[in-house]
Amino acid sequence: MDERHLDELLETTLRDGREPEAASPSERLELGQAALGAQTIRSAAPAIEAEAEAALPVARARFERFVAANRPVPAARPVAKPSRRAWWMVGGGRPMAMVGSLAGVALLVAVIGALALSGGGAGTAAALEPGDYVQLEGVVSAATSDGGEQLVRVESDLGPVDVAVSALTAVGLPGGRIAPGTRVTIAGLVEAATKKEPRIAANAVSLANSDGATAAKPNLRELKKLKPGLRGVIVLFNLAPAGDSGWVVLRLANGDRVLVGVDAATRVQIAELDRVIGTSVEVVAGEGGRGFGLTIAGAPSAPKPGDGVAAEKLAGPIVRVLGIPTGMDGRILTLRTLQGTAEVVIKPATLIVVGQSGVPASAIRKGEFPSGITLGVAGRQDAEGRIVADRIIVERRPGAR
Amino acid sequence: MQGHDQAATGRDDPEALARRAVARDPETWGAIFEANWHGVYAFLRFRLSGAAEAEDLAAQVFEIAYTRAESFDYRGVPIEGWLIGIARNLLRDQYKKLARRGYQEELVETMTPPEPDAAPSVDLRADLLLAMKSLTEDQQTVLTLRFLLDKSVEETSRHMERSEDAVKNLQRRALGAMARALQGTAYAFGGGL
Repeated sequence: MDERHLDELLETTLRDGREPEAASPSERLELGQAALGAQTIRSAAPAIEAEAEAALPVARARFERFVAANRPVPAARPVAKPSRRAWWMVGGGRPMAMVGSLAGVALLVAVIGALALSGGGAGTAAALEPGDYVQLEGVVSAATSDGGEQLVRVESDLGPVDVAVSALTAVGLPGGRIAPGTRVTIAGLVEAATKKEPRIAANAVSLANSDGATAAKPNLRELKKLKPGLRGVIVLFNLAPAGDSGWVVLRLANGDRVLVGVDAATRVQIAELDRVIGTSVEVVAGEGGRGFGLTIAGAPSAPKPGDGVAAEKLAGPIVRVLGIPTGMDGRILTLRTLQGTAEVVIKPATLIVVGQSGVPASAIRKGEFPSGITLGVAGRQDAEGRIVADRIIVERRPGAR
Repeated sequence: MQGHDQAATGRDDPEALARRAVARDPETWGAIFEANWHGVYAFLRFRLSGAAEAEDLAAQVFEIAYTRAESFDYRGVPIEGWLIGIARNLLRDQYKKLARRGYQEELVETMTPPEPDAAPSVDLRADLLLAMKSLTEDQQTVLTLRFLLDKSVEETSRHMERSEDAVKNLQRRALGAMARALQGTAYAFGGGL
């Protein structure tokens, strides 16, 4: 039998849906079997399509994260304007009178006369607002207990901050004790306070592994113009409630502190890090003209011998899951992940970063999940195996509004 | 699975798209992902044991492509073809890993029907998966491109870098081999899913 002739007969059969008249009985038998085989494979296509569609949100989120983490460093260029919030902090974007009017609510940390690196002359007022997520490092100067809650004062690079430690706070310190003199890393949400110092509801308190000392007299300057090769260690990270602005304070090699407004991709990148404080970074040009970018130059050093048990072991390892929300029962969110179903506890102090998703954080708290979103959750497991969320990052494919 | 293909090119000619892809423009890569995810997934799915493995490998295809973006050389080769090429290489690596795990394990894996899929509404026929696995790599490729991704003979020939005559011959032999494999499992053709 001529192979080429049979190949052409089969092609005709596949195209027309029936064997050609010219085919012999034996050829028809072979062609019929082949055509049925092709049809059998085709019949699997809808199921595979459905499978691919079901896998798409998680895969898309994975790819978007990959792109964000591996994006090329753009060529250095001056940034037109720091983020609105960082601008406000140095008194450049809003009238200082507004700062005054917010004094009881917005928490004025320090007012330090300083110049921007570019040589500007604005007075600097670094502030944390209620609802901000913050990670910072400092030395405990006082610790008092009030019923079930412990109130700790921490001397940070921005000055003194009060930290509320509750039963929901993961405490990674030897004996679970927060003693004066201990250098700690705090992660939590800024609460409204009647005092001028900010009060932070802590998600986690752990031993600091940074070997840098808190500045005795904080001297904070804002970076206004990209300075090639500028490197430092993150000593404070601040993120606005919806994640739409954020900034870090870097400790430079010479001990100076620099406030750097960061762009959207960097905010997400940092928010996803397990340990932000102590991370070495280099400042690069940002994307979209709002804030700078950061490239990670080195992870925080491991806790030194003598620091006691590693903070992670005491507080429990950070667990990270990515999945599609499928339901909410009270504070318990159910996620469908690649590994199965996960239950996530949303605390009042859980940071929900909505980024560019267009989904309000309040909707997530209420269990209202628009289709097409995935949630990345970082937290620690409780005794029942649920993940008590420190951070939830809402992701959605671009344009899927 | 065809409807997704046009979105990648949409407003652009392929060359402009390729240029932006090489520059790692995030929006472009988002569009490339959206347009090609289903195709890459389908290409891999019938050649692996489970949905999770296919999803992971498909995700790796895009990650590798993005990482190697500057190596993409646009000379009439669509990005989809490049992605399928990466998928084929990944499959080869996967098979090598299986081979390294030893003959016995590989045999058990080959002969054991895949576990039921956890994904909703999907229950691929184990016998069809096994039949596909019994084919050579080229036979699997030609059947996947022609009948799962609905590519024409001409498109398939470009993907596989073979002549159209060679593709027609390969496809006939592949369908014959699959018929024999399915008959070996007492499978009646046309059963669907």
